[in-house]
Parts: sequence; C-alpha cells; structure tokens
Amino acid sequence: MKKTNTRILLWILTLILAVAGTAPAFASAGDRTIIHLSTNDGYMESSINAVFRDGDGLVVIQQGFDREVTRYADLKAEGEQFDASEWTMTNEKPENLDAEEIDGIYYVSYGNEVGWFSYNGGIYMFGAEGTYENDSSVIKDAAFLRLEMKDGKAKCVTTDLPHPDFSEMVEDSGDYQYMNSLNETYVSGDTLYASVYSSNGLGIFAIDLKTGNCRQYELKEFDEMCGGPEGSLIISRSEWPDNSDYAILRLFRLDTESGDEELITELKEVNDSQLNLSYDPETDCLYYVMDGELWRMPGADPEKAEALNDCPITGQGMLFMPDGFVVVWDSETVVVRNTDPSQRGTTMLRVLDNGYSSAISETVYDMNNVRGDISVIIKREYTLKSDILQAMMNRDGTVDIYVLDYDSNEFRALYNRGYLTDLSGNAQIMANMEQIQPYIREALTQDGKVIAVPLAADGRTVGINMEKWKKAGGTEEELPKTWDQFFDWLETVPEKIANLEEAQVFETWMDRRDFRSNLNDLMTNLYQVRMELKGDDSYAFNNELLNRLVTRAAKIDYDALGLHEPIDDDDEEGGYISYEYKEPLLTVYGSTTVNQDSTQYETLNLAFEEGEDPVLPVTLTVAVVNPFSENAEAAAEYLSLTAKNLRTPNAYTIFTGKTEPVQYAYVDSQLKQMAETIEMYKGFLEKAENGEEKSNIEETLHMFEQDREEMLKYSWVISKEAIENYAKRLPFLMVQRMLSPRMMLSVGDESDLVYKMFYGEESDNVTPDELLNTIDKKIQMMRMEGN
Amino acid sequence: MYKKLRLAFPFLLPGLAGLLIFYGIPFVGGIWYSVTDGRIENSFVGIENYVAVWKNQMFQLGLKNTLELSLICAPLLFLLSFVLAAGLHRIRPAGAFFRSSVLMPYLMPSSAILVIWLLWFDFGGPVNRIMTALGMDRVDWLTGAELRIPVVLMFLWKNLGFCVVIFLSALQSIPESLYEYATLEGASFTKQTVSITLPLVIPSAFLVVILAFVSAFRIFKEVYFIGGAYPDEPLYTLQNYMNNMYGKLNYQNVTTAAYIFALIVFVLFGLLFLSQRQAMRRLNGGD
Repeated sequence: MKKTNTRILLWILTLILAVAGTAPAFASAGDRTIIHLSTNDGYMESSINAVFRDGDGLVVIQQGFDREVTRYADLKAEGEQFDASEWTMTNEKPENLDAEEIDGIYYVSYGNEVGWFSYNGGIYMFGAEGTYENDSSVIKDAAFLRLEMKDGKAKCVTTDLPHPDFSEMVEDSGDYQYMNSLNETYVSGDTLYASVYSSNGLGIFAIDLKTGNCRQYELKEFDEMCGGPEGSLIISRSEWPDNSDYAILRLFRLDTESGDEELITELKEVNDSQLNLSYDPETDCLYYVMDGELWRMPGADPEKAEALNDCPITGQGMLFMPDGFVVVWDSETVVVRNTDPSQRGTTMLRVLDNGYSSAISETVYDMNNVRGDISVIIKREYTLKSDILQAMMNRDGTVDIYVLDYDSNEFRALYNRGYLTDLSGNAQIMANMEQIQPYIREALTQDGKVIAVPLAADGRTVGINMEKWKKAGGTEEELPKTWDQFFDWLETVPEKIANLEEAQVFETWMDRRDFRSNLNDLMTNLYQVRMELKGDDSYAFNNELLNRLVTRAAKIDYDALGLHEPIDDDDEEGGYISYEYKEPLLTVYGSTTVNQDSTQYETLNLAFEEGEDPVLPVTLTVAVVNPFSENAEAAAEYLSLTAKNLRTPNAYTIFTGKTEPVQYAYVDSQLKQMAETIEMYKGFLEKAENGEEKSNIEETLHMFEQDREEMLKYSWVISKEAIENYAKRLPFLMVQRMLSPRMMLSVGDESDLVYKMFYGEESDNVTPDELLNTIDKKIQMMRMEGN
Repeated sequence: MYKKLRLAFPFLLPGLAGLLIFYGIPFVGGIWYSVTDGRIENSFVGIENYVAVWKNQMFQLGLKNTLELSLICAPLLFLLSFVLAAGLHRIRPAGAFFRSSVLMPYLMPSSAILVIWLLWFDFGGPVNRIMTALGMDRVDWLTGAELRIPVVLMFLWKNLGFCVVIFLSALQSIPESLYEYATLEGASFTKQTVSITLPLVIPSAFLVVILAFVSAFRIFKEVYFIGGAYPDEPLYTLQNYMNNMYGKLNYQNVTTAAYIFALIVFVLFGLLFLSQRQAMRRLNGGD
C-alpha cells in the first residue's frame, strides 16, 4: 500500500512538472506576444497597420508587399490568416464608388489607405482615390470601406456610410496632393475622431459618420489623444522645463461639442511625451505605458496610479479585452498583458537602456521564452539621466542592467573602481566570448573576468572609394601610409580625378570648416588611441607632429578640393548650394566596423610616423550588471541572450567566423519580380511590329537591366567587400577606452568650448596652438586629478 | 540654570535632531570613506588617501585658489557691507527702500544673474564698451585670470545685502541715548565710534566675517556655469576637484579632500574666534 501511494505521488509530481514545463512562458498568467516582427538587418518585410478587438479576440491588419489580415478567436488562440489577394475586388459594380472594370471584375480604386477605425462592431477603412491629371497628383475622392472576412478571404467592401467631406484633410505641395494618415482613431456615438499630423502640426478631426461632415478642432500644440469620459476626448501636452531631464505631462479633457478644454491632471517626472494613453470607460481608469511598465490611474488621480505589469513596447494603440487583459500594439509588435498586479512575476529584472542598441529590447522576447518567471522592465533614456554614480554610492540595486558606452566617463569610473559584476559564471556568456574578436574580448575582461557584453560597435576614420580611385587610374600602392603623406597625396587628388566626370573629392555638403573640424577631431582622437596603445599617459597634444598636421589641415588648398566657404545660416538664399551630384572619392566618415557604408568605402589606414602601424578606433556599446543587483544571475542570463539579437552589422563586427555576405530579405522577391518583368518585355520585343516599337522596348529593357544592377549593388546588409575590408583592418583595430578629445572638451557642460574649438564660426580663427593647448590643458587637469 | 535648560530642551530638540541626522552623522560617517580604498570591497587603507590627496597637484591648486578667492572676497565683503550699513543707518528713515533693495540680489537665482553678468562682461559687452570709450583696451573677461574679476564682483553683488542687514541690525540696536550722553560729555565722533559703536558691533562683525568666508569658500556655481568642470587654472576651486572626483566614483578622495579642508577651516575660524576675544578685551579696557 505504501509503495502504491509513493508511486501515485510520483506520478502526480511528474504530471505537475510536465504541466509546469508547458505553462505559458510569462510572469503574469495570460501574458503573450502575439506578433513580433523583427529582423536583425533592420528591414521589415511588413508592418502592423491596425489592431481591433473582435469579440473576445482580435483582428490584425498588416501591410508589406502583400496585405495580411489575421483573426485571433481569443487571446490564447492561434491566428487564422485570411487571403487578401482580392482586397478591393468585387464582382458587382459598386453603386456610389469609382471602380475600374477589367474582365467583369470591378477594382475599387480607394486603395490609398488613410486610416482604420471600428464602428458598430465592424472594421472600416478610410480610403482615398488619387488620380494624375495635367502633371499633377490630385485627390479625387474618399470613401469608407468595410473589412469583410468571409470564406477565408479578406476584402474591403462598399458600405452605406456617406462619402466623407475630406476637403480640409487634403494637403497640397505644389502639384502634388496627398492625405495624411488618421491616427489614434476613436469612435464615440456616430462620430469618428482622429489625430492627424499635417504641415500645420498635430490636429484633431471629427467626422460625422451619418452625414460625412468633417470638423477640425482649433487646438494648441499637443502630444497625444484618446477617448475620454462621456463622449469627450483626452489630450496630453508635455512641458520640458529648462535644465530638467523630465517633463510634466498635463492631461486635458476636450469637450467635443464646444471645443473647450479643462485640465484634469498632471503627471510629473515623465521621461517621454508619448505614453500610449487609453481610457477605459468601464472602470473610469486611464491606462498608459511608461518606463517599460503598464500603468493604471483611477479617477485621474496620479497618487492612485499603479504599475500593473511589464510592457516591452510603449505602443501606438491599446485595446481593453475581457477578464482584465489589455492588448498593446505598435507597427512591429502585438502583446497581451494581464492587468492584475498581484499576478506579476516574483523576480523583476530592471534594465536601463540607452536606446541605441536594439539587442537589449529584442532580447525581452527570448527571455520570455527561456525564463517566463522573470518580468523584464526596460527603461529607455536616450541621454543618461539616471545618476549611476549616485546609485553606486548608495549601493542601490534597483537597476539590474545598465547599457553604457564603453568610452563614457560612467563606464570608466565603474571599471576603475571595480564596480562591474563578474559574468564569468554564466556558461553561455563564456561560450559567446570565445567567438568574439580578440581585440574586443580583451576590452571586455578585467583581471581575467568578463565584466561586460557587447551590444553595438562603431568607429570612423578617413575612407576612400576604391572603385572610383582605380577608375581614375590610381593604385593601392599610391595611397598614403601616414598622415603627412595623406596631406601630400591630397594635393594630387584633384588632378588625378579631373577626368572622372562622375566623381569629386569630398561630399558636396562638406564645407571648409566641416573638413577642418572633422579632420582635427579624427587626428586628435586617433593620436590619443595610439598613445593609449603605447601605454603612454604623459604625452601632450601640442607636440611638433600634431601641430604640423593640424596646421596642414588648416592651410590646404580648399578650392582645389572643391570645399566651399561655410554657408551663413542667415543667408537670404536659404544657405542652399546647388551642385551637380557626383560621387565623393573621400569621406571623413569612413567606417572602421562592418556595415553597409564599408562596401563603398575602404578605410585609409594612416599611421602617425613612418614605419609605425596605424591604429583604428572602435567604440563599443556594452551592457553591464549592477554589482548591487539582487538578480545578478538572471541579469547575466538575460545578457547571454543578447548575442543572437545583435544587428547584423554589429554581429559581423563583434564576432569571428562571419564570412558569408548577407542580402536584404526583400531582394529575392524583388529580383523575381524584376526577372518576370524583363521576361515579359523580352516577349514584347519578339512580337514588336516595327523598328520604332522595337527600339522603345529595347530602351525600356535596358533601363530595367540597369535598375536590377543598381538594386543588386545596394542589396547587401553585409557585402563580400565589407567583410574583406574589415579583415584587412583587423590587425589595426582597437577598442576606444576614453572619450575623444573633442568629447572631453564637452565634459562638465562645456559645449560652448567644443563649438568654439571645432564647429562654430569662431573655430575659423582658432590657431593650431590654441586648439591643442586647450585640449592639453583640460586633459592634463584630468590626468593630474587622477582616478 | 538647569531648570531653564530643561524648559528649552523640547524646543531645541527638533533642530538638534536635524543637525545630528543631516550633519553630525554624515560628518562622522564620511570619515570611514576617507580611510578606505574606494573599490567595491572598500578595504581599510589608513591615512593613504590623506597623503595622496594632500600631494595631488590639482587638490593643491583647488585649495590655493579657494583660499585666495576667499581672502579677496571675504574682507571686501566685510568692508563694503560695513560702509554701506553705516551709510544706510545715517539716512534712515529714507533708507528703508535702499535697505530692502540691497537684499534683492541675494534672493535671485544664480543662473539668472549669471546670464546678465555674462552679457555685461562679454568681449563686446557694455563693460568693454565703456572701457574702449575711456580709451582703454578691451579685456577678455571670461577666460583666464581675468575671469576672477567678474566672479568676485558677482559674489560681492550677490552677498552684500545679507551682510548689510546684519550690520544694520547691530547698528540699530545701539541705544541712541548712549551717543547723546557721549556728545554731552564732549566725546568726539572717533571716540564715539571706538568706545560705543565698535564694541557693540563686534559680535555681529564676527558673524559677518564667518559668513563672508563660508560664502567665499563656496564659490563654485558661478565658476562651474562659466568654465565647466575644468575651468582655467586660476578659477579651479576645491569644489571643482571634489565634483570631478565624484564623477570618477572616487568618494574616498571627495571625503578626504572635504576633511582636509574642514580642518583648515576649523583652524582659521579658531584664529578668528581668538582674535575676536582679544579685540573685545581690548575695547572693554582689558589687558
């Protein structure tokens, strides 16, 4: 008997474990990522146009090369895809809409999608019809179409709704008319409200769905709009006080009858003016997303506001669903969130992201699958506002993961004081480290311990378009090896490319000041990196070598290089210089990492002295774990997952063994389409009846062939050339540990000094001595202070 | 006396508690920071930080500049406020308006004042225009050692009012009858000043000296607004050093520098206190 009991107990335990293993991978019950469109090459094949509640479920409308309509019967269901190939086709002639008839099928011509809304249980599209008349694009008509999902097909069909009065909504830019999108659509009674970005700023339109009449509200500038209580609207306005990193967000109730506004509440210390405000009339609560969390504010009382759940996106729309769930969506993602705060995960991982690296935000979705018990809250600060140093001093573990620039003063302080958590205990991080380029790996370790993971890499120096250089008769041997040789060589370049009609020396926009300031910035930075590599920290910038180079940059023949005088901003001509576009041979923005630009430009690897190796800088964005975090293990696990979410160029820069070129995802389908068109025209060519027709078709065919070549040329996320060029530079690359001298001058709110020394009008009169002495003075002071 | 103290104690308690919590405890607690290595383990290093900070050239520069600025600003503030207070005291009751006016700069935020000050001392600003009108060369007031002049002037302009008010209240508290009696006795203006005014004003004067030095030690905001974290050498103060050390997460050097400076200030104020006692004794006819 005892044995049987034990066996039953074991079975029950096994069953519990099995169920637990398949439980939803989220901290709160019912949380789900319904759609997340993302690619590491930054190109999206489609985007989400609108999401609507449909009973207990949802309808998602996407647009890419093709339209996609998906219905989810409830929030747990899988999506049911509808065929949208007959989107605006109908077998019967529409009564009150323009439709083109081809072989008995009518194509409703309101394909210009202006906006979507939900009304009386149906989903509607506001479509516009545009025509081309007398060399002008004209908006001819607009209509409401209803989305019909039947027999596996999604169509936009005609409705009984009146034609809207759209005259106020048309924008005219000379001979081109267009309509701006309707955003934040909301229907109250029989009126459709929508916010519209126009040339006059953000406005609100109200369209009567019974009569089609349109009204525009005269409003002061605002940020967001959503439905409010008793048929009103809620609008928000943010105010960013001087010298403050946070805004005050004021919410106003807009009386839709009178157009009067009334302040209802204020949110203080808001990090963003867009919070995806949504009002739930059933509970009289305002919902919004702030700093990575979903919030609820009952009765417009900020004191009662509470965070309900984590939310990886701020979103551009929110839907209230049965059983206290909400759906938050934006153009890439649709997520479901439970609004019961008691069901939040026990572990909350807080990440402070600088927003410049998608790897951190993309990893949330992987983490949800691996560690569903952990709630990840990502707060984004594009400029670091949180005082990391203060947090360290207080031994505050509120933020678990910080994203920092490797050369920032904050990172350097944490590094120098040993305030970086050892991540070596995480096997996946260690495995990832094995794959990282040695020069980067070295920078990520301290005393043999891994202290950071890389998220992004960047760096620049002078770049050259080798294709153009070779076309001009140049060879690799002729290229300069040192900075002195560079200035000598630069004097010969204009003559060398004189016969190359399609090329010029530098970019058209670059003026003399841009050239000089960029070059000074580059040279002083590279010099600093070089001295860092040498382990010398007692050097001065105002030395014979740098002084000579800065002087040469100031005294070069600007006219010969095609570098024009700086344009005065107050110029009556509007500061516009019109030049025929030519491809530049040289750029001061040549990338030292792998990216799209490095297909076109190779770097000029310049040393400071003859016989010396050049040094090229790479700046890193890294993630570190707070040494006072109570979730250090979970934080390390999170960071171990970032490696596979790096943007492709970053992955190719940071990891070894990446040798295969990567093409954009759209290329295959576009090439196929182009091949079909070319084949079709080749067929026309065979059937051509006379010489003139034949030559016209040949000309068109030639144009298509050229387009295909051009497309192929720019179709690479990472090209073979970019990979090869990076491999050539690898021996000279080094992770930059300190801010560039230019950036150092701005430490402590001294942006005026940077402007004076580098970019401003005053910089024209700054002598090399003055520039280098200013840098020296500041850097000497920093050095003398010590760490 | 003990009964009086018992009665006063409940009234003093909130203030004393605040003093203890926000000044006393952090002051003592900070000593621990100053004798540790500042790394995450915070190991004890004895007086190493004190030796290192004392030897640091930038600390020395900051200390030197802070003391120099204080020795320029504090005596000037003391003298000017006394002269102004004496003048205002003589023109009462019409001086009420001026008495209120001198306090106005003290109430204005430094950032707002600074903008006006920067405009005045700009290379093409009114000060230089006046100088050129008088046949002098223009001066770049906002860089180098010249920047000390606008900083000192701004300090005086901002702090003068408060010190004037203290002096004025001291002057006004002297009974008029004392002067009348002295006049009847045939005492000259100088005799009246030495025998009546000065002995009765000295406690307030001591307070003004202390306040002037404390304010001068804290000249930083103005310098930081103009020169940032690393201004020209003549303007680099001890607060620049401490602020920059904080930015490097080096709390040890921040606290160490603060204690060294505190020690210097204690000694300085101790000397002032002694000299005040000496002066009082002399004026009261002591030895």
